[in-house]
Amino acid sequence: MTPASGYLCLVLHAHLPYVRHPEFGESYEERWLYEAILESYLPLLDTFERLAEEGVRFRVALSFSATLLEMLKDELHRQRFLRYVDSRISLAEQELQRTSHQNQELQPSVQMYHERFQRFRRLYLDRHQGDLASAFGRLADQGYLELLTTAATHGYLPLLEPNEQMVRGQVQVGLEAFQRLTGRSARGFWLPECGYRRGMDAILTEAGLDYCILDTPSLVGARPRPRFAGFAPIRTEQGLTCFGRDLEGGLEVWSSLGGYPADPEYRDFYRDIGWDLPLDYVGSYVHESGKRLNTGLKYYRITGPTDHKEAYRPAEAAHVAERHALAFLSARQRQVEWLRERMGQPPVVVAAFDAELFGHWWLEGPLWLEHLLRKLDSEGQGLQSITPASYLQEAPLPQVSEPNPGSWGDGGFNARWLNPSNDWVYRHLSAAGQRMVEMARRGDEEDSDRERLLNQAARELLLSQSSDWAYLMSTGQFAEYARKRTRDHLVAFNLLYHEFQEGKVDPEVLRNLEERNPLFRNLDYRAWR
Amino acid sequence: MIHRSLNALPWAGAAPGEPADLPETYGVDVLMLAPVDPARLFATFQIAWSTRNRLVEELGDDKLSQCRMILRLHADDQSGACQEVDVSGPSRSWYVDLETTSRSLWGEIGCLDPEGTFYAVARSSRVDLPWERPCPRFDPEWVPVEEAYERIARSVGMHPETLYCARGCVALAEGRDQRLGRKSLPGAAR
Repeated sequence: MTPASGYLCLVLHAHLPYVRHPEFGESYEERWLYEAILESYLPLLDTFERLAEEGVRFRVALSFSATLLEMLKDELHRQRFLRYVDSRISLAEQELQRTSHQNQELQPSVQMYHERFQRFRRLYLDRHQGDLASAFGRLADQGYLELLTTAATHGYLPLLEPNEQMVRGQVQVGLEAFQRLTGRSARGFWLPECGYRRGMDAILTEAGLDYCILDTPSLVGARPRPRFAGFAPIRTEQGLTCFGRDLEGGLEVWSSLGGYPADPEYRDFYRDIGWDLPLDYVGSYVHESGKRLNTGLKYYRITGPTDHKEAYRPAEAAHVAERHALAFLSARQRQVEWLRERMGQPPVVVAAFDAELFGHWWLEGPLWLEHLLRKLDSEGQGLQSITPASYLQEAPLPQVSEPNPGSWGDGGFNARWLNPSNDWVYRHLSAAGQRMVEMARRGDEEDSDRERLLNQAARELLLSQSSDWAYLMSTGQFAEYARKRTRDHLVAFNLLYHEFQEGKVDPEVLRNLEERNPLFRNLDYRAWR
Repeated sequence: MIHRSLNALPWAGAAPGEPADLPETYGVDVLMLAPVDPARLFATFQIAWSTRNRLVEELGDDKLSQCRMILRLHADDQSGACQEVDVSGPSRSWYVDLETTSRSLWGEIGCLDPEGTFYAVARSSRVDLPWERPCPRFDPEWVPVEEAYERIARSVGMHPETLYCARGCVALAEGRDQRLGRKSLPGAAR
């Protein structure tokens, strides 16, 4: 094998907030999960399995949040997901009929969806019996994937107070759930939103973690100034290795203007038949309330910046995905060659993305990834795929430096999660955090009911801390739901706190709360001491 | 310069968007500081009714009405610098443009009477701020490869020494938001 001139470290982060509403026949927000399974997680699994079966040598790091893993294992969600897929298949069949008589230029797209839905249903149910965590775990066992995890409910750690105990709770519960749900220990940690605050490294290393992923500015602004900017990890004095996400490659994919997913040939995300076709036709496939929603069937390509859209051409889009994969590979090869000459050692370029970008928004994303990994194996010319843990085994000991606090949000700091749309939450989260520490320290280990109460209080606190709620309030999308979820968990937490203070436990209230959010079954409130 | 949060609210009552059934206070005096970015700090506080009653008893209604609510931000270093911000008025959440270059601060909130006596009510824990620029100090055994810094800066269209507020970061975020803003998944990318 050619000696490595540099490394490409692909990191995909899969996360969704915990959503579970058995009280409703259908919930808008549960669709986040079903869309992500059908459009992202299954296509990615399909891609990785195909590459592995064909003997392509690749390595990808894949982060799973504990909330997502809990939902993937949940029988209610499995049943509802199957119902969702079956309904997509039924809609696609209906569409095959309709477009055979009219809009025949849309037939290739309809056929593509029909085939995809059926194939991914088989992959989900027949091949993996609905157990996606184990499916990805097998790829990890074979050395293709490196699985890592994140904070239990994806809390935005820099803003949680009191910080040490809140971070410890998020980390310990996240790691325990990951271990329980995947059967393996995580060495790496995806910091939610790449959010870092001084002192967090001690908590992560105390939990047995080796590395985390930060945004490049956290490395570029580290102290002392790192020798290799963001192209080699640094190590904190506490022993946590920090990799920096590459901005250059990131822009090629993420830029709203020139990013690959904006190519005119790619499938347009926004034109969905849930909005385009008469409600009496698509009504049963949107929502039981009759409100319009995306169905997942989208027949147009991006075409251009106007509302004029032309029919999607799957074969042409596939060619573009291949071309973009080659362009990305070529750009990274040039990048690492240039860097290696100056660095005197192989650089590591970390390409980190949300897993849900691939397939859900960018339909051709998994195909792009497949081409990239194939070409990297066959035509890498010294550029090798690597995972963070493998890199740590092969590379020299990183330079010791203290990362700068930051995040991957706009501006690079905390503004996305702390602004006038959402700042009210921190007063309450901070108070709840103080109360949780107080309760944990006073907790009576002899009394099982009080122990359950304390564990449920910690569960409610964790759920209220999810970074998604502050984010959604900030964007205005699903803001009301985000406010409600924050409020509901804080109200439940405060109720339990008052019961604890009064020395009583209402069994019915406690059971109700436990049943409403049945996750983190091994949670131990002592983590908050 | 200081900015009152849009969540300006009377001491009693909920902010816009804040569920009204969450506690107005938690029975304790609290000052929480959090960095928004290297130059701006968010401060939120709550003062228990018992503390307000105590202040009324100690100072009397007249004197208390002449007091101003003051947020003091102390540099946690040798400089001893202190920034004083008048936070009188209905809001209990404030955004403060920092005057200090210190990267470590702590705060206290209290009442300042017309004679200049300060009655502290709550003190924050220490807050660390991010640095704005790449560190000028380096380890002689790890001499920085400046071209690598310049490459990052070029790729996001900024001068290396102002990389920190890089347009690239904003562009990345805009790219994500543009896509994710209308998508049905909340996603994790920001």
